[in-house]
Amino acid sequence: MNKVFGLVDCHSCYVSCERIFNAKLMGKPVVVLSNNDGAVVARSDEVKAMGVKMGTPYFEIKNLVEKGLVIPCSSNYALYQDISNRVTKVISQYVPAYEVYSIDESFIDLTGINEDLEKLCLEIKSQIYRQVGMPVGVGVGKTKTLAKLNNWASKKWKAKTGSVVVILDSERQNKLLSFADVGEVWGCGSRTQKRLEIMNINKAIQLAQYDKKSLRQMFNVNIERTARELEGQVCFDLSEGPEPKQNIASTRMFGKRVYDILELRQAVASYAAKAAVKLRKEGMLTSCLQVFIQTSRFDDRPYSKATIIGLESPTDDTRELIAAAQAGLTRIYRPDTPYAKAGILLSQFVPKKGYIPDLFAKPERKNNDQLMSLMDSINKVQGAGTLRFAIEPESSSWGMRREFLSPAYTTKWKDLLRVKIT
Amino acid sequence: MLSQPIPLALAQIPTKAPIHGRAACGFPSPAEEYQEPPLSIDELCGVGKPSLFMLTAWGDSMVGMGVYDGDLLVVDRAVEPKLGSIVVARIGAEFTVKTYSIEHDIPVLKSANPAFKTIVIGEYEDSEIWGVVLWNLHKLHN
Repeated sequence: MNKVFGLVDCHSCYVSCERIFNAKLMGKPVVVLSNNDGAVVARSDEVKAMGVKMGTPYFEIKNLVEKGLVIPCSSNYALYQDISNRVTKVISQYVPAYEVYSIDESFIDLTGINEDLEKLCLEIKSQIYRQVGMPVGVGVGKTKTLAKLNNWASKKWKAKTGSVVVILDSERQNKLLSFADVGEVWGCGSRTQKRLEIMNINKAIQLAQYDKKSLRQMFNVNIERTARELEGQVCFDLSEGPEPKQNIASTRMFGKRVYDILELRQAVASYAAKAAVKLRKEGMLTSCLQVFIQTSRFDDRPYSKATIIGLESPTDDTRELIAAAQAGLTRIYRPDTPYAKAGILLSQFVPKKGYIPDLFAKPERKNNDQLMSLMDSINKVQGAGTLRFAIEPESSSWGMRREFLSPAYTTKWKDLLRVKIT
Repeated sequence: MLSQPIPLALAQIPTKAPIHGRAACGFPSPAEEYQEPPLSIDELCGVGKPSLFMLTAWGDSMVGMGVYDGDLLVVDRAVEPKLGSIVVARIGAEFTVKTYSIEHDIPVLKSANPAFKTIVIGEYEDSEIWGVVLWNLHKLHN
């Protein structure tokens, strides 16, 4: 049977979450800032129309904020995750299988559904708005890569398409492929796009029609698959894609500049601990930990250094990861430097289930699994950070700056939206 | 024969140690097989539905409607309002609690306070019904 995939995409996800509970943001230019209010990570349509780009540092738009032309929000991830979970729940009421791809995107499998798909997708869209208050768009195609491109088209021609684009015939699909730049294709990041353009592959259709064997030789098997998917040949099923989740990052901008190695030690330890929780949630073990520290890129003498620590044997033990992070930090720390950001990146994963340790590998610490699952369960119930390692501080000067933080409307009793009786 | 004490085995998650009906000695509970989950207010109110939200009310009481300052409102966004439903509405840049009604075949929002005018949805300002109040958790004892 021919496969049919869809992509449900939340429009300006973080801004839309804020708007559900803050009527003052309706129809106004709104941005959501990254952790520590560093840079723009989400924009309302009004802000996009003003030409503010994704990733713009906050200080560059501060004058617009002060003039009241743009309303800023600090990121409120507790709220965004709750709303995202609700959206997923609505999706699950309509389709037999789905994959949560990111906080604002889910792939759905529409194979074999004997209904008018456009009507079904419009229904999904209106129900998500009705039930949760989140505006979404849907793209449907023969492959995941095409579904994602068709979703891009649904956004580009929002008014004309009603934010739903279903394309299952080659003629219409090719028309869109000839229009779309290759950079809009899923899996073609800016670096890949540049290389493709040198080869005179500018439009998506040129990638679709390019010789597959040469693509594999010049790039990798994933670009070849992406090209095949553009032709309508399924290479990625649900939970598969050109960039599978193969690393976990935990990084932050500091609230103020940090010089002291002890403060850096605490920061990277708490990032390592956070990343370890995510790692265990994914059921993975990591073999490689990267630490980095950097000054602001706007500093007079910018300094940025990263180092990789290979772990003796794959692990998900927070203690091992903290120790590795500390060893890495010692290697790259340079005194008298105003650090603005630090981070941890875990990579080279193996699934924990079925993992057989190397005969000569360093043995796991005793009771690792019990200790870690106990910590995770306590922190889940009592709140993150309730039980932590001594090096992780309770709160600290490098903590986040969140000047424009909205309440946790859906997860804290004291933060519920107050509505006036009139 | 035991020659030395053996430590008790710890349950994997101490907070979730299983409770069995059978005591170490004595009779098994005759009711064990009939055990049912306890009543749940969450289930009653529909907590966990994607369309269910909780809000707090403030301001003048809705006399006769049973909504008072500080009450906890359980609101469903997906429910269709009926004549007389208490609703949360967005009127322009503000959320308010009002009564849903129909006058001359047009849906309107009525205020409990006679000082406020009846609002025709969408007449002056961009407005919408945000959700219907299903339950009001009003605390009686402090």
